[in-house]
Amino acid sequence: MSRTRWMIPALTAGLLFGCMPEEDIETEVEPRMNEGEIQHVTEQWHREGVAGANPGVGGHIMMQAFYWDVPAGGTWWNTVKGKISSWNNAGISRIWLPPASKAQNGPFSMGYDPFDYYDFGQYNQMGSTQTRFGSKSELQSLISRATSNNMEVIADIVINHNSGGDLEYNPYTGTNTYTDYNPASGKFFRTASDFHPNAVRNSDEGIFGGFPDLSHSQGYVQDWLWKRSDGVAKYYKNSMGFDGWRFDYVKGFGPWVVREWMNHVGGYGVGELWDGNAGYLKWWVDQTNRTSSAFDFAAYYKMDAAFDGGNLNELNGDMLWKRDPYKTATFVANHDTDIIWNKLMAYAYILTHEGMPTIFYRDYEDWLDKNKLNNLMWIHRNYASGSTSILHVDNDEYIARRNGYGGNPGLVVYFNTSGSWKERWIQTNWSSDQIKDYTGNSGWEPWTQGNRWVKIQCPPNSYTVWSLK
Amino acid sequence: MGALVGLLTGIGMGCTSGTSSPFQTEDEPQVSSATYRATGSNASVEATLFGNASRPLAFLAITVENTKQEPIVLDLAQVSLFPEGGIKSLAEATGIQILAPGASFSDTLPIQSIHQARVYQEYGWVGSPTWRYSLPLSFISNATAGVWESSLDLNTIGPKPQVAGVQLYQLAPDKPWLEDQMDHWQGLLIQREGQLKQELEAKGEEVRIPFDAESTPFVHASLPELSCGGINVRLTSYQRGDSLYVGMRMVNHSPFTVSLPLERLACEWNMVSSVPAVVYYPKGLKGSTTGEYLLKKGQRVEATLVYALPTGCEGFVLRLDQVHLQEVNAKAFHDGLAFDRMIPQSADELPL
Repeated sequence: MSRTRWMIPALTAGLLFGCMPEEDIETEVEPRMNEGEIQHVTEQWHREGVAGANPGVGGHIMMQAFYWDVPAGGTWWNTVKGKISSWNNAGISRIWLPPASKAQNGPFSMGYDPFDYYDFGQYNQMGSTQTRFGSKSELQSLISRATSNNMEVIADIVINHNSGGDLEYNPYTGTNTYTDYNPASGKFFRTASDFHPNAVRNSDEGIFGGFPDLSHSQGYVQDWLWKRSDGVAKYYKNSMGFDGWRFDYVKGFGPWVVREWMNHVGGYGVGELWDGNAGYLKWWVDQTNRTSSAFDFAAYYKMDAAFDGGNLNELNGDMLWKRDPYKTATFVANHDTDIIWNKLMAYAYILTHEGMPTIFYRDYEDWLDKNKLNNLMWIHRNYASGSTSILHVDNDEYIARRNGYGGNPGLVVYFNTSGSWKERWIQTNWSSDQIKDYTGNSGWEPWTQGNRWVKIQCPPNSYTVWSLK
Repeated sequence: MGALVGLLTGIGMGCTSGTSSPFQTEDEPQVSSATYRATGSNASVEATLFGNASRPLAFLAITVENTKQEPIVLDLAQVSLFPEGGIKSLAEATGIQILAPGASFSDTLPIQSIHQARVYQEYGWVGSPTWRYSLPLSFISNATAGVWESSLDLNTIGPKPQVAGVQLYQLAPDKPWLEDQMDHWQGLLIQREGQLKQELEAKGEEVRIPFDAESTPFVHASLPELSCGGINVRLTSYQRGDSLYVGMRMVNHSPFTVSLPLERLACEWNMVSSVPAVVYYPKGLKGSTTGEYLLKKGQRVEATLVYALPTGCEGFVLRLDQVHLQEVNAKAFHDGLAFDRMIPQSADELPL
């Protein structure tokens, strides 16, 4: 999205509204746009996903159903399966699983060193039959349980590189390389010509480092990845039951690879483009022809600066969700990075703003107050609808409004990182209505005025989320 | 769980004396907690915690006996420890065990206990400095009585644990360091862009450069991580006695192959430089015979480097400028990275 999609507001008179008595507000501020308001012009939030899924008005919420070094021993699929029902009740409608196929490091691997894309724990190779996470039947049982709970299952797709091949003479390098792949599944054998460099290309957009770097330009590789009916993409979708894709390390190859994959099999897609530059993220999404979303690393680092760095003005910065909310997955931590300490604030941010929020397993199951996360997910499901207007930002206060959609009233979210209670007059979309804070952090239940202004409050180092009572 | 169990040597609370563990894997002495017992109306439980002072893993040995005339059910996935003031840690176990009347079940379950989320998040410190644990017995149930709503306190009373002597350090890149790193990285990208254009044009291939060498590289530091142009490093550090533990996890999302000399990565303090005395790799990951760990694009590596460091140091410098980028034959970081002695701002920050 270009900058022209943003309407930079006319700045009006000073920050007087916050301390004005109600009678002044009614008479003086009605025609004005709120100080500092940035109108975010977007289409209304739409529901996407499989028929029967019930993501609520805020759209899907995805659970990252693993962390780095989950317990080894082949128990993880069953652990996740045991949580499906409670996650569904909490509002989770997508689960993202770790790379599910056999990798070089066998029973110890987290899956990011792929060897045999079709071995989900049923072939004895790489030191084990089961993967770190369990057996193929246990994975299928997990997927079946999720599907029956109307949840989509997202596969982690690692197609930049392979690991675990045998040594062979490589005519393109003139040396011996580990590029001879003979998977026990009997599918997708690979040799030197399937990696860079080869007769077709010297390298892809990532740079060849002398290692098994899959050459997506090779017709044979394309066939096995996304074109053949028994290729990886279609096998995962049609035989294993995956509904979508999380593409690992998309910096390593051209966005056209994801575009082709998505064009052939569809489903939800999201790319891991680890960069805090929102413009770069948006460029990548566009280059996939918007067939895929991207994780919003820009928002991640802005939230770190805002909530941990003590300057909520950072939330006014550039983020992918502001440029393309329908193609944004927001997150607070993942298996590779975890720098935000004030996590509940960050979850309150992503669960009330646009983009598809992702919940990190450890945050939900181990670290944070599950009841508070459930409350925020409930708010997301019921009120996080419509475009976003940022109403007020300063160092320690941030207020934004979701403008609602299709009869849904939307919400107003208020963050306060100071050490004292804060109150502020804001303009809502509600006229002469009673509102309440659905987090329970404030006991106020004020009425909006006829001109839609109302005074809301927020406790110290906390947040409140307001909507119609 | 170095802190954990190093110290579960005290005795008291009506427990039996500790026993040695069958899990000794290192030269360091293996220690255990005392054994504690609880007897309810339907079952009796005996529990012992074992561990090694340098490992983030302990073992919970439990025996459950059905003392009544109807079956009881054990849900092993629910076996968990609660460190005092910390968050629960699940045992690495799953499955349902049904015990007939009079039957018993015994197993030893791996468990990683995290005492306080923030200390773990920023320093990788997982054990309980207060070495007090609660084992809920709610994983035991039967049809008549339901869930056993009780818990077993694995407390020990004894000498103050040595973990009290732990000093935490935190990475401290200042603004000039980060700005210099941006400039350094941009220079590397421009160099690489030129190389690629030359190589690809010579081969008659389409030139598709995946990065914009002219734009400002993304460099961000926030405890305990440093993100630089796609090289993302998590660095945690603490000192116990005269040993400095530096936990490093690097994810390479840069357009370069990274050469990481883990076993030669220098640490400097007070004009003294040393290399790791020991490098611990995670289970399943082998160290390099050459001392260089090649991190391909998209790959990760993690290890714990142990240095000899005199107590009382105000800080040290980790020579990250020894990390090398193969394609451009240049260092990844323009300079070493300083770590400062952490001074807690509040008791909540430092439970040691």
